[in-house]
Amino acid sequence: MKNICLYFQVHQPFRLRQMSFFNLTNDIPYFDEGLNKAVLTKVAENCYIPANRLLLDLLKRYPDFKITFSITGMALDQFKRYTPSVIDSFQAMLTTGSVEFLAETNSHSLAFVKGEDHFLNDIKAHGQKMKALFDYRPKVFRNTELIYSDKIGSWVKSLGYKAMLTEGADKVLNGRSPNQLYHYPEARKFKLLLRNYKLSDDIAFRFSDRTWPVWPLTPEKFAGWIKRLPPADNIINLFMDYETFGEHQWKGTGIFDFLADLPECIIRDKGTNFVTPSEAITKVKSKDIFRTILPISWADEQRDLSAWLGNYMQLEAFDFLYSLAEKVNKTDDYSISQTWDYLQASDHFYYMSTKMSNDGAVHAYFSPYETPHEAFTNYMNTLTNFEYRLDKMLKG
Amino acid sequence: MMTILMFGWEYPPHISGGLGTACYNLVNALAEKGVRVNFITPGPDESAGQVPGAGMHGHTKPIKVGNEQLVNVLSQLLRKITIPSELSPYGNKSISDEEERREERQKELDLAYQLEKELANFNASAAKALKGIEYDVIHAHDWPTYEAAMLMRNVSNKPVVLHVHSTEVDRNGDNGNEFIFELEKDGFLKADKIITVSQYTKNVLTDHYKVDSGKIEVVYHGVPQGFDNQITTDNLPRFKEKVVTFCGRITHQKGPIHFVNAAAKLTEMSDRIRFVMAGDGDLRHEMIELTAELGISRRFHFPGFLTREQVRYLWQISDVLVMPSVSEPFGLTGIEAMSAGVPVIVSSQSGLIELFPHVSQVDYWETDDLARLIFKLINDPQMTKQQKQENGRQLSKLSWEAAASQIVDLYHSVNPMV
Repeated sequence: MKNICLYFQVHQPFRLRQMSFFNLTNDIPYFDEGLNKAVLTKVAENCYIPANRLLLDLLKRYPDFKITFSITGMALDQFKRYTPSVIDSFQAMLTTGSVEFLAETNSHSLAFVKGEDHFLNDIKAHGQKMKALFDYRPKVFRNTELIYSDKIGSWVKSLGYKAMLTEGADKVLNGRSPNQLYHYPEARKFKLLLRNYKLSDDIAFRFSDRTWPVWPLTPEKFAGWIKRLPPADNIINLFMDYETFGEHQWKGTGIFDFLADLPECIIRDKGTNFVTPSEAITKVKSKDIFRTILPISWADEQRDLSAWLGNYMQLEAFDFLYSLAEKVNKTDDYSISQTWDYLQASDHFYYMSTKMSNDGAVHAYFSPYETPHEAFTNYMNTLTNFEYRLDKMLKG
Repeated sequence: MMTILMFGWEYPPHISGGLGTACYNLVNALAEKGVRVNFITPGPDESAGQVPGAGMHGHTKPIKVGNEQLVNVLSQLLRKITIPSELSPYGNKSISDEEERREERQKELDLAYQLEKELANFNASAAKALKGIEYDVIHAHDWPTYEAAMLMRNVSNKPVVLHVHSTEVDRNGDNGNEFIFELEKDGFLKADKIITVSQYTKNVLTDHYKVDSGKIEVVYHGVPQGFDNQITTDNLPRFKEKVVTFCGRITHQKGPIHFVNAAAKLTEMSDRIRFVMAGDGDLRHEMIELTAELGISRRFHFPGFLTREQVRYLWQISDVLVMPSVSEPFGLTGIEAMSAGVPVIVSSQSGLIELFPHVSQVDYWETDDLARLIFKLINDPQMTKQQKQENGRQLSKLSWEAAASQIVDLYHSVNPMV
């Protein structure tokens, strides 16, 4: 049996306002309310609302259809603020019993780089939001951008999660198949689900590419590819941005028709079905150890941290941010800690990437800035202002 | 009444550098002396219906000929000051991608092509628009207008005075653009008289362009003033650190890298200093990356291009202006800062020290010395006070009136008929 695990990532950052040099010590807001609202409303109209409607419909029609979502705390905050009905529609899907939500980072942060405490705080904050909004306690974890290393695995394992999702990175698999279940080196019970990046990107990136020799992609074709995988391949992890549906791939590409017809093509074949990660780890036996000291991720060709921490600007900004952690804790102020969360989003560092070619184009697609240098100087200005604000509060 | 046909390529309120400011002040001072100036600048003609050459006195508008294109090209050139010849080296450019590099190169070639085209266009439009205008002397500011001045001399047989605010050698050293260099050299050769803004620039002309020194007269600027509004300082940032400022085009000529290197050294000496690099230019991104690499960007700010008003705000919060230029003909920014009460440190390669010999100076490449000087100045109130006082004394001696007198005498010397 080939089990297909379909997981969608939902995330929206709080983008920054222009922080002018002349405002560095003035008390002004940091986040671009207008832009963030406009983006979220647009993506909700293009993706979250129609896709949730379609999926709810499919879940009701096909009891064997399963979906997994991971929603960052920042996306949840924005739904609450701008489009509360989207939260209701996620709740409606959850109620079908065929949907699993993952635990993850609240801020979509890279906090793990700065140690366990920062990381655990960010996970805890997300857990509280899942409880408050959905009365839900996730069992499986995914880290920001599917970043994983042995160290991260050991932290997550000790929190009691049963499994983690990450990238099926070639450099770690070393010729082994991503289509099997793996486990942590010293703990067989802690499982790892690895993304099949080829099949995932066939949908997420190549779906509308007319120069792709096999275009157009139909659900039948796609189901056929899965069916013809080697017999030992028993878990196929299709992990992608939820915004693939209607936003990255707009409606006119036929992406919604593809999604609408996929469940039937998979379910009607006796050799294939859908699973959530929690089901997968009970149904499928883990095959081998997955071990990596260096962190891997699902971003860029390099599949490492270089998308966020690959140049000096990114490293400098990252260090500046976490040098403020102690002061943030001391203030013990809700608005400060919320700002702190939003500033930690990995997106800010992603915009500062100076990579060229294909990766560079993807970074530019997501960035609200003209250049990585503007992203850097604006972020640094914002942190400068934040530092002044913290000092003022602690002094007063 | 003496009438001058004056060419410049920018004029307030539309300016991107010191040239427009200088022209504005000079035209006003000449008007005070009863000199009538027809100021010609590239741009779309806004005075349709008016008689061309009706003249301008002081605050009236310049006559615009041709179109906006030349100004656009020149502004781009100022930002990214080099246009390459075929051999232009790319050695230290941080462009790793072959395709990007090709695009960059194509853009520069396009710019070079546009420059020649728009210059020709401007020259032709000027010749056409200025037919029938009477004048006694032709006076042209900086290279983009030299050819037009010569064209008008051919028509009218009136003498040409070229006014040199900066040269290609100042801007790009030995890697300058040959087209511009030749244009300058040709102009200097043909001019009846040449005005330079400092002895320093006079030396550049005699050394690099082999101009006969007898043909050159030094005329110092006055203190820029005139077209600014009052500013309010209520909402300015209040830093607890000292503020060390660089303000100008972020190009090779202005020595931004020496400022950054000195900042790195200062950061080791004290964490109570903030740095500002205001302005735009082709090295801006490189400088941003360098401050990150040196680990000093937490205290180093890049506000980008500032309006004149914003620059005056900047003076309000600066403890010192540093001008580590590789070559600085005059340094009007320094005068502006001094007028606002900001002490200044300049490189020894600057015309400013002829008028302000007491100002702290250092060879631009000596970044250790530069760092020490800055540190001393911002931490020694006595030294700051002394410099401010001395600056004030010297500033009061400078005047556009004196500059205008000198220039009127020079007009008489080239055209004894008026």
